Amino acid sequence: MPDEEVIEEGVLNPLKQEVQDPLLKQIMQESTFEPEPQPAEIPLPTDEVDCLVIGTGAGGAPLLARLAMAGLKVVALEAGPWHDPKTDFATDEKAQEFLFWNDERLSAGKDPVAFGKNNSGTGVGGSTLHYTAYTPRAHPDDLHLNRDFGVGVDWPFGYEELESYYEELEHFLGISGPTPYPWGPTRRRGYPLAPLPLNGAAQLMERACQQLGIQTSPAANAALSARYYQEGVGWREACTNRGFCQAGCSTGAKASMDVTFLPLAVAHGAEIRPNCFVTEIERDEQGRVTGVVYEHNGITQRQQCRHLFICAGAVETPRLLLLNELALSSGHVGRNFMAHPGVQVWGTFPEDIRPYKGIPGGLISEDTHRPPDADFAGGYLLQSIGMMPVTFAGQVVRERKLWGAKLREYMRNYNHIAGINILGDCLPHADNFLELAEEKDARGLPKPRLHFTNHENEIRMNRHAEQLMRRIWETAGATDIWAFPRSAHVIGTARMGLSGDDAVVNSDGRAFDVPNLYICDNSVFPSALSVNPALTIMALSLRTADKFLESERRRDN
Amino acid sequence: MFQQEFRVLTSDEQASVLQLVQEGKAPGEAWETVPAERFFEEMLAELTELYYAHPLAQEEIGYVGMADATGWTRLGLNELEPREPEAISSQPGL
Ligand SMILES: Cc1cc2nc3c(=O)[nH]c(=O)nc-3n(C[C@H](O)[C@H](O)[C@H](O)COP(=O)(O)OP(=O)(O)OC[C@H]3O[C@@H](n4cnc5c(N)ncnc54)[C@H](O)[C@@H]3O)c2cc1C
Ligand code: SF4
Repeated sequence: MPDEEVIEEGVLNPLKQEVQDPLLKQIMQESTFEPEPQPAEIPLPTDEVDCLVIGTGAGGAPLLARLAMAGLKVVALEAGPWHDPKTDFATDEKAQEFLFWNDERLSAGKDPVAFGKNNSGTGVGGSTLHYTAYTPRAHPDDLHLNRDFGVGVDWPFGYEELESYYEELEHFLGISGPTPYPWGPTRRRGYPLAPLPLNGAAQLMERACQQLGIQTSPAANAALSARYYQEGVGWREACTNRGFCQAGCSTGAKASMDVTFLPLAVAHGAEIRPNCFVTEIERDEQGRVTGVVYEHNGITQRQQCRHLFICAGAVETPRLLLLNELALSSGHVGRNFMAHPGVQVWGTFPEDIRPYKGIPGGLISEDTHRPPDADFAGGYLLQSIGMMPVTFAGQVVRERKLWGAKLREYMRNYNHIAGINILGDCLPHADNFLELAEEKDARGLPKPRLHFTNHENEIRMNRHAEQLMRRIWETAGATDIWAFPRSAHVIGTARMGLSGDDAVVNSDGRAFDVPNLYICDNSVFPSALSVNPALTIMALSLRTADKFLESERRRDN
Repeated sequence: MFQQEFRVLTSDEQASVLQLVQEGKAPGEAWETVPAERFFEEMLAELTELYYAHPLAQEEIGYVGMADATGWTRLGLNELEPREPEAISSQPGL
């Protein structure tokens, strides 16, 4: 399909919200009460912005800053609130649940994916508010699974397109990590900060891997091992090893977007509007986006824009597109949903480990990137994990089915338990996809339903990894070893590609169907990659902004 | 099952009812419409998380992660800071 010439018919207001609550419905039917006449039109704000960004996570924040720094008038709409980590964040898992996207999402398939705290966040900063901050680069061959194994699809460009962005991000965010890095191509620049200290689980894994001849290294982690000065932000203090990264960092040591790119964006004139949930995307007769409608504290508002950047994460982005019947001509919106195989292995040790201390994202091995004895395509990495008691207890009861006295007995070993996990490639499969369900949410909008089933490749990879991790934990001296099968991250639901026949956005991140619509978040990944996604999402975000600015400059000349 | 309200059963009786619900074998009409195993797992996970969010339950397992205001510096295996309580059991698994 040719590029921007083909334009969808303008669909202006495809959404009709309806009352869901049966009781309220009944009351409304029975009553003769006439609702106050609503103003027929949502008032048009007179200002049109150059670029409107939906979502302020890993995909939205870097490009927001880049566009603001280029002197454009930019506004970001973020569904969640704006927190002050220093005063709002408690060292209390339950109390921190507000960081997660807790609107109901429906899960289907043979291996339904868990949402909420397993998967996605909300608030100014998005899921980076609670990410573990493991920030490895992708490998060059991660982008070419099809070339190398004949499965999945290749990225529309090679590693060289990402390399300079990785470098820039590592230095801007203040990533702590080893120099030289043991795996992947030789780097032009090392990490700006030395690695962070290893927690107990990482020390146990390091010891055992050494005996087994598996190379390990302190991981690249976007938490500061020393004070760091950052443009537009100022001094950020070093990590104090409080081990709570997955429930929000109260010290600002972890490079979540709210302490890095977002203040930079604001310093350059960007406006961030929290608590603004976008529901509609409006278009003119030519199919160009003209603006969005959003809800702010129960009030419906409209913002017009010249260009729209959807960065709402790999569930809400395709959901918005489907709800608005936007950019659908490829038939790939919502399809190709991938989730990293992420099996965890836990064990009990004689040592006093104190899992609440130290960053959870400690040790890594990428020796399994292309294992010689693999019976699957692609590969995975090994990482030590941290453990917060509430999340861990929930996993224990789901997997081991313990309760009552037996549960309490097991949990009394808390200070002696440690875990490791993997993250590996996932292939796109026809039966793994996102769709809109009949069931509506509190806003009256259809809930998203995600179908997920592990196929042969994922099953074999998890099996390979579980065997290896059991061997590592036995060597480290663990007893009572058990595995927790799980999938991590939502990927690929609006993928990038060379042709509008099998992809939603082109290699610059622009929608094939809509010339002034860009998408940037985990949904545009053509393949899952064998590494944690956030650094690559941020790299794509900066690249998308640069490609956009280039095309604007070309147009001006 | 015991022809009485759950609340008045002895704790052993309560446990055997729960066990049957977990295994999807509990008798009664209610369980014909609700998938018992799934229901039990969701309930259990929710209650367990609430339970271990309580300071007393956290004390029981030796968790003092909330005492982190000044940060942690002694991260080695078997290394404690002065404010960390001693191990609750010297032999794990006991
Ligand atoms: C516990 C946990 C640990 C993790 N650890 C790591 C790690 O160590 N390393 C790593 O690389 N990755 C990690 N991840 C994954 C990483 O956090 C995500 O992959 C990444 O943040 C996704 O970026 P995104 O831009 O796609 O979406 P998000 O960061 O989720 O941002 C999307 C934003 O859009 C907003 N939004 C959605 N819909 C709307 C709407 N309609 N209107 C307005 N705003 C909207 C949301 O509120 C959200 O703020 C972890 C994830 C979890 C859950
Ligand atoms: S361990 Fe470090 S980075 Fe993580 S939450 Fe604590 S202070 Fe922040």
